[in-house]
Amino acid sequence: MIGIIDYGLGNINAFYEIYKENGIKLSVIDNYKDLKKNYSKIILPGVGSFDKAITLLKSNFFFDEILNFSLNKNNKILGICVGMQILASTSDEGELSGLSFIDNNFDKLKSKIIPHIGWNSVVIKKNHYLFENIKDNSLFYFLHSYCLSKFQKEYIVAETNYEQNFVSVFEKENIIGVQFHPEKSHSQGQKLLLNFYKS
Amino acid sequence: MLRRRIIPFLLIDKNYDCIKTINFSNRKYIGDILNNIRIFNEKNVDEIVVLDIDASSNSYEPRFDLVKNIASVCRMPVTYGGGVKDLKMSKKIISSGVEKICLNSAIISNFDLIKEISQEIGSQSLSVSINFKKIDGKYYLVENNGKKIQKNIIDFILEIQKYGAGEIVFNSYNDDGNMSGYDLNFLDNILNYVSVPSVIVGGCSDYEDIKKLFLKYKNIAAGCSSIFIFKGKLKAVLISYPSERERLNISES
Repeated sequence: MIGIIDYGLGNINAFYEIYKENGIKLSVIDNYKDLKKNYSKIILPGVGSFDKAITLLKSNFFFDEILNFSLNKNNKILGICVGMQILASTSDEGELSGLSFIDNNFDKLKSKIIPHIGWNSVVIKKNHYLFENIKDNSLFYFLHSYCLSKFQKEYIVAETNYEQNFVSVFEKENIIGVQFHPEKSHSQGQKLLLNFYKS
Repeated sequence: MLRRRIIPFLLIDKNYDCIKTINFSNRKYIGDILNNIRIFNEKNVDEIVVLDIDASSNSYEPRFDLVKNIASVCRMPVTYGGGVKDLKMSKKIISSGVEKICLNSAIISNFDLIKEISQEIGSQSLSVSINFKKIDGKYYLVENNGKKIQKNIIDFILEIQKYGAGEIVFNSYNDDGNMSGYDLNFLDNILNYVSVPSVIVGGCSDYEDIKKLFLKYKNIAAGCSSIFIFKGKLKAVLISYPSERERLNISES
């Protein structure tokens, strides 16, 4: 079963519609207790700021339940945009500690023009099921001001350049982070979401 | 490489109709908003901006049911503007599936609102629209009805950025619907002060105008409406958008 965490941030609807069009039922999880059910994959969306996302996860009791969920290595978590950033331990954007699946910081982008808004190339760094049937250098939609710029090479799946290279997709064990918005990235974004479902 | 953005602007009125204006008035009905968006979906559009131009002047709240419908139909990122006056409304708009909200008249005298909203939903989701009008060779901020606002444009740009606006939309009163080209002279005056992504809308008459804009400035997106909505001298309604091949030509430098 695949579900999406509804903790008050993020475009739940867009994900739901994409899966529905492809005959897949995406369950919207708005109560932390439901995470104990039969889910093997969850999506952690996010629009907003780092601290706001963490605060909401904690006040809805999702924070600890997501950590529990991750202990079963057959389970997968896909964090999107701010949902990716809160997988890390810290961010320049906030004061709070994240879920800390990766012991890294999200740095403020170095460009003079921030945020990074628009369609940018995603350069695939290693063969990965998420990019099955997706061409290297495909364009995806980005909308963010902070990025993962220093990271262990072994976990990097794809990179993107916006006056600096940063990690646009990573996977460490059963934790996956995607900086762009696949739910708003036309057919290539849909493919990525379906690849996640099939994995 | 970051692709240059080409963004259709769609306006809706109090009757839920999709319309096109000239100089912020002279409305022409151009069909059903959801149908128009569905057609844009097929064309792999970069982003879309939907503005409810009656909300503020008629003092109604954003029509959240409509916004939600728009967001679920859109297969591309969408910005919504119109009638958003406080944090609560902003959050409701974002949670209905919109990527960015666009503030305009609500913030003319209330910079704290920008700060409050950007801290909650993030700067990347907060766009601010600046209506400008050229009068005797000088540029002024104006309200939706074209009435002057006594505030210096550059000061205004600097302030909204300081308080957390993540994008600025420059909306030209004189060029709206006139298809006379973008006001590049205006951009010459202000772009040095802009440190967030920006969009200019008003005046675009063909792909050459977009090409000129892109060649001259590195960091601004092209907002368009007439050229993507009308076809021919009689201005029949026909939705269009540049193909991949046409885009290569537009962005060629």
